Amino acid sequence: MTRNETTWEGGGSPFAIGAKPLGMWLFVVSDALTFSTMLMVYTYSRLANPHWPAPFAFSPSIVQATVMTFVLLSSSLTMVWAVDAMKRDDRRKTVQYLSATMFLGIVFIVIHMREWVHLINDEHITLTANPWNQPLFGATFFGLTGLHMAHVTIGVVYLGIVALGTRMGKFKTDHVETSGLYWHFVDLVWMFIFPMVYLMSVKR
Amino acid sequence: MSFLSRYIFSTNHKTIGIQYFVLALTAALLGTALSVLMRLHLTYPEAKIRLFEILWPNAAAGGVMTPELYLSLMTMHGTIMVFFVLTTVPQGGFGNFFLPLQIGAEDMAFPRINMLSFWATALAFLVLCSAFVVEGGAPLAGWTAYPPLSAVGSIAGPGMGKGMTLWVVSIALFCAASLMGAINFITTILEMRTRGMSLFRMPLTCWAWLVTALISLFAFAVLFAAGILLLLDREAGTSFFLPAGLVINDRILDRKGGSPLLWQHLFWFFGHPEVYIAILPGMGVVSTVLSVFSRKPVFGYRAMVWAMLAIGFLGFLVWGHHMFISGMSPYSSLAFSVLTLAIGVPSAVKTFNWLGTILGGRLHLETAMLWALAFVSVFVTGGLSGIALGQPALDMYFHDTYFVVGHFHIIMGVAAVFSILAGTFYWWPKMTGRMLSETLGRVHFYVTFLGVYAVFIPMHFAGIVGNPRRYSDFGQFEFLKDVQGLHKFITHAAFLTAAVQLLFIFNLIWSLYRGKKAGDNPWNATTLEWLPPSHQPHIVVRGAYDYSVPGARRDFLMQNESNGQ
Amino acid sequence: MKNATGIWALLLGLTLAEVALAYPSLAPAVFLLVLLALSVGKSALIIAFFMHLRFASRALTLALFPILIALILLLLGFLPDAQRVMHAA
Ligand code: HEM
Ligand SMILES: [Cu+2]
Repeated sequence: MTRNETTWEGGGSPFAIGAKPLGMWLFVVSDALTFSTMLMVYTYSRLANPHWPAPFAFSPSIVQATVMTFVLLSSSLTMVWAVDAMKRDDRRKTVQYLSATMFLGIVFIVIHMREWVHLINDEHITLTANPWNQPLFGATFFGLTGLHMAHVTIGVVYLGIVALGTRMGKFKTDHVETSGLYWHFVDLVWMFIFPMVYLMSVKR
Repeated sequence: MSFLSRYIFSTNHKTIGIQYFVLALTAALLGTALSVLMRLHLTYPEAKIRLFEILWPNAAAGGVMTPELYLSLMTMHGTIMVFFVLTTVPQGGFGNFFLPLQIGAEDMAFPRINMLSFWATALAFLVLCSAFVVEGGAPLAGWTAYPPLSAVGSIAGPGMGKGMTLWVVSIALFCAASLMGAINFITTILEMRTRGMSLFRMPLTCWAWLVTALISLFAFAVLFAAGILLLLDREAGTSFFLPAGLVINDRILDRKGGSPLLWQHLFWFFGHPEVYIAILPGMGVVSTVLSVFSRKPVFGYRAMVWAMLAIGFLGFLVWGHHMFISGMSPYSSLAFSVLTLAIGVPSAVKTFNWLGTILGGRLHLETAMLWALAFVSVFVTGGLSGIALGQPALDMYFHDTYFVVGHFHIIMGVAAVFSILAGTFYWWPKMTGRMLSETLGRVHFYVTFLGVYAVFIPMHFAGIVGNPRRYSDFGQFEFLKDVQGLHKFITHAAFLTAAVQLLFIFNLIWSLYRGKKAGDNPWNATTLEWLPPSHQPHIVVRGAYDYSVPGARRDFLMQNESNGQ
Repeated sequence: MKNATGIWALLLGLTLAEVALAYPSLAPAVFLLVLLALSVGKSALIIAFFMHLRFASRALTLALFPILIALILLLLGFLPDAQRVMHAA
């Protein structure tokens, strides 16, 4: 019997990762298509409207967005450490790293909110209107970043639940690993939003 | 266990399967009732009908429907049938009940998510139905909800305010529920098969559920994004789907920059795969039923699997065939046309394999088998009109005529419903422990089978004459005078077909109390759901269709039977 | 663990490179392609090392990604129609 036959013939997990992480992977793949659709709508809107604005000044917008990227990447690092600690069965460390991840997530949200407020108050860019009379600029910007921020917020709550469950000894490695997949995915989506939304519209 | 946790918020896959089944049966009755009212108005547009006035004192004052009321009934009919019947029973209903049994698993991989997806579906249905009672009534935009009119609010007509918003919310909820369901199905099939149940020993029903779940995983992800954007356009004043310079009901809109075509792309990127979500599980059921009642293995099992995978993938490449008249580049039309016709190849593989399965078999014409045979018949009929529609030159003419209505009712509506009925007659003994009446079943079958052909074939003729769809009254068109008689005939055939469905409902209820008790394996089938309940996991040693194996002690070998002697 | 920190530093570096590239005023199409290439590279690193796909079975990768990538590319089919938007006179 070849290796292929044994892994696929039932009675076990063919991918050797267990049901929960596989379920999360499937969610991630599906959600990736949702985000891709949003990015394609954004691209479509930009192509359809030739005089697309480029309002993001180096300071504060690009600096802030770069810092946000660093924050999110760092939160992924602490998340990796959390999963690692859990694999060593070090629950105390796991909870600490999870808390650090949540903290960085909240920092991301706070900076992002400041960025939004700055754009709305100082640059007069809202969901439906802006100085360049290109309503879809705000619509796509707030639509994309808003959907992403919703994911980060849900992620913070989700990690909170996982941290609690881990501390009370209810959750196993599976749970932490699965929440990690979600968190890294949210990070990954930002790796597309940051360049496509911000860097493609820098004010030179 | 309390009543609540046992029957309402149950995480048991069988209970959830039944819940989906009952929800969809309710939806099907409502959807059918709406279609009867629509036909009544279409055929007698001027008649004063008391029933309309009772139901809609304003929109049918004096007993005559307004065109808007007609369109709202049409919208609700389509939405209910496509989403809450055809997408719900074959996957959520049969799939939940039988998938774990067939692969020898204890339950689905995520029972709580399973419960959640059922209740989200039920909530979505309630939200949709509530559109009937809010101010302005139900939306008018059809099941495809094309902007701009679907995106601008109540100035586009009654029902396009609150009613349309409820429609979008309902569909978004439905997307979320379907995604959860899809994740559950795929994980269950990949991770929970019992020992020996290799992928290529699975019954074709399981393969069909797997492919359907994969399609759902991606198609609903796109529709979900589209739904959010439409909601933003409606409620937050954005203009993703609204171009500049629109004048609606004598008012100039101050939106700009968007494109209604973008919605068409997004919707049909979901929409065409959706039609396969509706029909693939049925193909699985039909393959199994044909094999069981011919006492022969499925012809070309592997080809059947590959054909389903090919259909699933190709289904994503052809969305443009719904947009031939949108003014797309002729080169795009050509590409979409060729890809569309290419789906005919795996479809033909399946059809010939079904014929190969029954060829030379010992046919047992029980009602389940009759439905499965009828499925093959309507699938071929509908596929042929599809080939006509897949030619851009012909579709320029046929688009938005009754020809399209005939096509998709035959191939999506009727074929999927026939497979659901085949599944119901085949699995009812397992679900309830009792048999359905064969006599009632046969009467129901013959009338329905002839009835649907009598309803939907003439629609093709009306379409060839040029009869447009989504009109509430053809009376004032000189060129349609000749098809009035045809429409009358269609309506009467539809009433008869709808009425005979009551016989089916009666059969279900009668069987629950009076039906003959079924044994464990009334059809002498081979798959694991027909084994008596056991706490030991079954160990599978053979494929799903070992009928009439030479030298075996009887004409079928269950999947866990090691030796035929 | 060392590994993860290294990847993290690499990701930060790539981010800085993206920002730096935004200022020499490249042609938009060129810039977009460069950015997309870098982003795909970054997500590959995240998927492979943070999400541990590199250490999971090859079958999982094959099951998840080819279809997703194909479908994302298909979405490009919307774009030709972007030219056909009505603009007010
Ligand atoms: C060889 C197979 C098929 C071909 C070539 C085909 C082709 C087409 C084409 C070109 C249209 C667009 C007509 C128009 O709007 O002008 C169409 C509409 C439609 N088809 Fe098919 N089709 C096929 C099979 C199917 C199947 C298997 C289903 C469902 C199970 C299906 C369901 C539908 C539906 C629901 C519509 C109408 C959508 C609407 O406008 O509301 N088709 N088909
Ligand atoms: Cu289609």
